[in-house]
Amino acid sequence: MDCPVCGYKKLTKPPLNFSICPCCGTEFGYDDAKLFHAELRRQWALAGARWFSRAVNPTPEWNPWLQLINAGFYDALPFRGLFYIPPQSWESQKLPSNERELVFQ
Amino acid sequence: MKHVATLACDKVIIDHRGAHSLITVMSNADIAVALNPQSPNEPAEQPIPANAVMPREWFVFSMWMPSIEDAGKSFEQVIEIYWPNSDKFTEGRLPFKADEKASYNSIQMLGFPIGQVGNIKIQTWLEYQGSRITDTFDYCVSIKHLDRPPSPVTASQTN
Repeated sequence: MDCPVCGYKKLTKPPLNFSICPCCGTEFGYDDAKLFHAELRRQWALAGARWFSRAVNPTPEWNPWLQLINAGFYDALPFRGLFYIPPQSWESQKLPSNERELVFQ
Repeated sequence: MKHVATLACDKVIIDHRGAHSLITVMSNADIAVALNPQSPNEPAEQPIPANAVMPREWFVFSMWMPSIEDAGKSFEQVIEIYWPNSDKFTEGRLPFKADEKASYNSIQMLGFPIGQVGNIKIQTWLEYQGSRITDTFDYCVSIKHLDRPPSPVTASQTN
């Protein structure tokens, strides 16, 4: 069962009736009675997206940002990146002129 | 099973015949990163988290060549991806059945790790009936952070 706030996928109880998400700490029926899930998510992410529970531990490679991305909650990410794959250098691809002639012979 | 190749790329296109085409093989990437402005009072310069991930689809592609006795056997390819500081970023397992032809395996990722500068290491190996049966193979993508997005570069400018 998924947490509608942080996207944590292993809720043991439905997100109702004052159950608490061990990941983001949202108490359903209390916290989300005052704020929308998107706002709770934004606040959790802005505060560093830290694991909430001391009783339940995350997996060693748990990553809150990847969890948000996998759940489709891109808007909550407090950072953005522009990805750019640089072209291979033209200089490094140049062959000496004699080798270039050999290639094309 | 003989390992032929493992690499990271932007996209893998599989046509109706099952032929694989790889788009934009990645060996290095420049990333302009910034915090999203949340309020006018927020400090302008803050580092992004070291575990930051950006939403971006990418693929890890591997090719394995079977021997005669491998045909018909079920294998599992294990992939582990590590941050530049050697912490594990994520892992995945892809079960597949070998036939007499080469096996092409593609694992889709929805997030790319951008929080640290250095080499993102992709490790992979094959398991058969729960035991590792190949060496571990590494592929790295070198990550560099830019202060600002690069301007478009044309071949005439670089040549």
